[in-house]
Amino acid sequence: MFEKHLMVCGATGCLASGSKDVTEVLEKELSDRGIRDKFRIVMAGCPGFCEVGPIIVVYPDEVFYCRLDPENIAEIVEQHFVNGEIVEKHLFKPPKSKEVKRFYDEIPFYSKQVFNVLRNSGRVNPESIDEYIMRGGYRALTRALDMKSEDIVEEVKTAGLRGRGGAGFPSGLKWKFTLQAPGTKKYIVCNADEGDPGAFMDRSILEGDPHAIIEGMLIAGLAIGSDEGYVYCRAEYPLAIQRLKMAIEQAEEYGLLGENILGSGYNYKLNIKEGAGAFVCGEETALLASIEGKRGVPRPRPPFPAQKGLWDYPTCINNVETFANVPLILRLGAEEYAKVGTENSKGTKVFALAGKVNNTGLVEVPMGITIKEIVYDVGGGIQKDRAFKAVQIGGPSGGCLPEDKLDLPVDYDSLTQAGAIMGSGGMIAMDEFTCMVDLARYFLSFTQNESCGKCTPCREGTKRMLEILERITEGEGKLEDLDTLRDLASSIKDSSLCGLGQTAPNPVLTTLRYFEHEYREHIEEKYCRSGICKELFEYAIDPESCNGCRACTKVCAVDAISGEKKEPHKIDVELCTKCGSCVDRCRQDAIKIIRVGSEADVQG
Amino acid sequence: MGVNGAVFYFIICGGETVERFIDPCCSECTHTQETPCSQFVDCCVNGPLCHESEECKQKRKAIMDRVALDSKFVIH
Ligand SMILES: Cc1cc2nc3c(=O)[nH]c(=O)nc-3n(C[C@H](O)[C@H](O)[C@H](O)COP(=O)(O)O)c2cc1C
Ligand SMILES: [Zn+2]
Ligand SMILES: [Zn+2]
Repeated sequence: MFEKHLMVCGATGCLASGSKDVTEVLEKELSDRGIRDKFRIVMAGCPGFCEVGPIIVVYPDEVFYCRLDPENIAEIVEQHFVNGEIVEKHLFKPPKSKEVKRFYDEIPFYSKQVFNVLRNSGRVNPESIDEYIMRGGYRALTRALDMKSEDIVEEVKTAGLRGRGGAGFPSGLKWKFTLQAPGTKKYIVCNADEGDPGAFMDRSILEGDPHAIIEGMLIAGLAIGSDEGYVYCRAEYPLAIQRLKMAIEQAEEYGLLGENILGSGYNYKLNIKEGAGAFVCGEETALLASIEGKRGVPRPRPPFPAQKGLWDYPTCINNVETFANVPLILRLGAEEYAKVGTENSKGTKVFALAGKVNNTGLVEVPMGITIKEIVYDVGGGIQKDRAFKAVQIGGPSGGCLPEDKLDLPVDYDSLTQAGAIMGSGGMIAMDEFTCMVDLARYFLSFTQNESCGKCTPCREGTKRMLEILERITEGEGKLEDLDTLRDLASSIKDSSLCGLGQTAPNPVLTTLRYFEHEYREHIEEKYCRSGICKELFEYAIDPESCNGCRACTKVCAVDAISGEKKEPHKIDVELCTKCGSCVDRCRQDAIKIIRVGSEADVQG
Repeated sequence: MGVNGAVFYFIICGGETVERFIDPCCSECTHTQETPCSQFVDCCVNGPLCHESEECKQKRKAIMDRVALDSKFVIH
């Protein structure tokens, strides 16, 4: 028996932040002391709190060590694993709090999270089918094997499951269409393209709990009468692909995949297709073309994939997270599953929480939670206690919501009404130092760049919009530009061939809707209040707040700041490159963003 | 598996080690890819289901005890 289980975050994110080195030292420390056998070290899935990685969670002690460095390991081994005393300084400590938090249940980041999809991430060895089975895995498949296709579809409908890949289409309905479509062969496809910048929800699920996807797809196959499926995964996810391959082999060996599954007569073959990771290849018709070996460009719908999909056969395509919900629905039953969430949005949603919040990482929250709860309770509020300005939800197809939408419940319909979308799970919190015009420019340049070029509105329209936004951020904007942007946006939305173009204007439209004053400031006053658009602001030091600590002078790469110690400093605007490092450094918040040429107002 | 684990297995299984759920607990268990048993999944956690044997039950329990993080880990 093992004395302790050491769950190390072995997901791509934590591996990058050093969890591999930590594990190597851990192995060595334990071996050197001759106690290696007493410990089980598992490279587990992501426990989500990437901000504080690398993480080791110790069981049965229930201790959450974070921000680890290889140098910390000897102490933990000696003090905790040998002498039985928890090393407090490596526990989690919320900002400005003196109290350390020992385990998940005390850490505020986890307090409002509900783990449905991430139920096994960080708790099981993702390379072990046995552990998946212990956690209730493949029980849903066993149940589904005894059910009629129609009843499985009905159960998913009753559960209220909606697609987690973007549009939120009711999954049960999609399954019903595919079941009813005539065809001698049918396919299930799992969309693991995950093209949104900064997104890693699907990667984490695949890396942390690959069997959940296999089981979800097997159940979908039973529901629509399919015997073959594809997981389309971007090639930049080698660990996800490796874990999935291993899981497929194990499932086949266990008789849970392949011919005559569990003696039922149900056959299922699961293939992996590696994609180049273009954003547009995440669009379902482009994705199917790519699996067929053609160029990954979208085609008009209808016909929808449910009627005419892969090689013209009826095809049910769902997102990774959508499939990960399915085993839970079939195991718990639709009613139990639907207890979490709102009237029209059931279950949970996984978000990659990023931006200016204190706690960034992967979070799973119940539908209906408010934006405020995500930003302030889960996210721990805005860094440095700065003011919240907006949250961007839904990535390049999504929108920006302002402070007065903080109480908005996160569900499909509320978000759409407010101009954003649930999307696949990107959520970026922004503070007063984010320029909303520049943000719109950033997202539009992403979609513009990723446009496949097949249809004119998307190819040319987004280019024109981008030119205008660039002009505005450079101080060359005109007031008429705002109407032009709105007109272009609506025609691109209406006439683009696929969802890429149809949603590309969203970041522009929502920032125009909620932050028109910032656009106007850029145009009329040539002023960027956030200090982002370089032509449209200057820095100046407020003599009242500056205590002359000289910290800023040391970080300024061009020596633009002068002044005696303990005397207010001054910035030479001619030399200043507006890199912003002095702002980050100043503890007094004495460095202000001012209008170009208005220096005299501040510096007297 | 560590030394302790091996000793443990020896005691409860009379020498035969069962490392994984797919390994048959005894000759009664016939589940393989080619000769599948419909009750296999449930049997891993709650079995054996097709025969009575405390020893076979303990073999399953040993697989679970080795990796269960806490009392809520195994879902029966
Ligand atoms: C430009 C574009 C990119 C997309 N990228 C993805 C993606 O990366 N992953 C995904 O699941 N869906 C993506 N979608 C949505 C898919 O077309 C499709 O709606 C989805 O896979 C359906 O699964 P769901 O109903 O489970 O959400 C994208 C759509 C568009 C228009
Ligand atoms: Zn700006
Ligand atoms: Zn037996």
